[in-house]
Amino acid sequence: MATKPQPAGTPPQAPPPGMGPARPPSSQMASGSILRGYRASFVFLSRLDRLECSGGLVLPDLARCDAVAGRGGNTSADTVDPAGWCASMERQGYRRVPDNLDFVCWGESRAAALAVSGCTYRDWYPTDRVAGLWSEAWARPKMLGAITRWPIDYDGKRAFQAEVLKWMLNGAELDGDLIAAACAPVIEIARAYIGSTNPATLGRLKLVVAQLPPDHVPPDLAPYAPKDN
Amino acid sequence: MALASALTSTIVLKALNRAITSANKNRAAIADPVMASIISRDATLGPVVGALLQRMSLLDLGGGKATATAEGAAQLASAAVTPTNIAPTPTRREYARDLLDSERSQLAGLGMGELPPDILDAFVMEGVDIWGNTVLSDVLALATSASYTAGTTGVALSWAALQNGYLDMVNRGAVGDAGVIAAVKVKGIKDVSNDVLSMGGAVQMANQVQQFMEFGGKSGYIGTFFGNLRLYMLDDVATAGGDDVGIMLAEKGVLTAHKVIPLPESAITLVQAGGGNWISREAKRSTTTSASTRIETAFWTASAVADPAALSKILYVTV
Repeated sequence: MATKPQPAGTPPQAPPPGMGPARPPSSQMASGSILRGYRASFVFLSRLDRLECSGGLVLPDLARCDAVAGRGGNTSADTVDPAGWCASMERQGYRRVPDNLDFVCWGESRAAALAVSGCTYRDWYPTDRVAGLWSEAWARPKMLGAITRWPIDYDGKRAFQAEVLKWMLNGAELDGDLIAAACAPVIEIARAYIGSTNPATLGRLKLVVAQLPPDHVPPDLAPYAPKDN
Repeated sequence: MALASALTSTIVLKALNRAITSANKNRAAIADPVMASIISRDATLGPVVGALLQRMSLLDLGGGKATATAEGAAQLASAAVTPTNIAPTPTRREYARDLLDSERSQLAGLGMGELPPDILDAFVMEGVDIWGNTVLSDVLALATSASYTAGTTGVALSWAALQNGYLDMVNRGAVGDAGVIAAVKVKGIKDVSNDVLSMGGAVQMANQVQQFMEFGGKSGYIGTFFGNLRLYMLDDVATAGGDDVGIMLAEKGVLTAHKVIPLPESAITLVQAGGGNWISREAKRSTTTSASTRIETAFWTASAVADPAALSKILYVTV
């Protein structure tokens, strides 16, 4: 678990409401070497029929649009907020995920990040480039020598996706057909391994099956499901 | 021997070679038929490479079936036709290098290797490379918003995931004459290799797997699978919080656009075809660094998802 975020530098341009910087974690600052590179800001969008299986849950398969001018329908002005790209996604039925969904990541509520930056799922880090680097809240970049590593809080990511699903459903139940559609490609991949006696393949098979919700594991894959299900 | 040694030593000392970088490897993908087809439909580059502009609108036509009706019955309600317009807006990109006069002198003195004698020419060449890197990087980044997925979050990439993702794309009717380009990072390629080797039986002995293992890849290109899917190993593939987000793309999946650049007569231009220049390159004295020449490469580019059916992301765990 990472340590509590500490104040650090500010991004080079004043962001509009909802796109401000969050403070980088002290683990990054304590590494002794400044992060390298540049990564644009971004937003997440979601659509109820785009779901994925992850860690035994059915969760939204988030679409990410980067604030890079010229990319995805962005104009020259879309360097802080990817309005052009988002507009093209919204025409396909996607909805922009609100900036204020609270969830627990790296062991603490993201509500504090909202107070700092106006967004719970993005963090900004200073780097050797003026524009710095934006990251998902559950991915915390740090320098290890000359290499940037990205430790991930997978539970934090799933917690965010669960909040997004709750927001999309707005109190309704997730339709069984949507769950089945999300499970189908995972089941197809898992079934390709059935019959193998190779320990490595069986290990992969179990890892794939572990992504399925326990009550949606078909009988032929049940022997490979995690025992604590 | 002494003479040979001296010659070798001289050659080594004076050789000026381009350093090996993975970015140079990555550009192998820009010559892929899918990328070539995309660029041929570019408003500005299309005329340069021989095809002509399209500003694309999608009409969902031809998917229905006729309904049985009786003669003289009331007219059926007709389905509305709503085009989806795709209009990537070119934006300016620039890349600049400052070259101190002393460095230029040193480099010119060494200019006997692979690079042209005039070191400025080397930076002109680099400008085209930068353009290639940028376009590829933009196209690869579109995968993060793809509506279709091959693979599974949090799990290594498998042969079955790649195969199913490709067959789903075929089933959507998205695969054209140019076939499909797919790109993942080296981790994804290793995942698939380990997968096929551990599966045994028919899959491991399949021709394409044998060819994959025998060929092993060169300059970013790994091999052709399922007869029509060309797989590349590219570092610029996007990531998203724990997963790599590779791309599977048919020719109608992306539309790019460039813009003709109005230039002063003194500017050095690379391409003048199809009605204008699409890369400008200027060498000028830097205003910020004394005694240096600044070489600026600029172009206007954009890329956007055209038909979502022809684009899938390839999802697999990063580590």
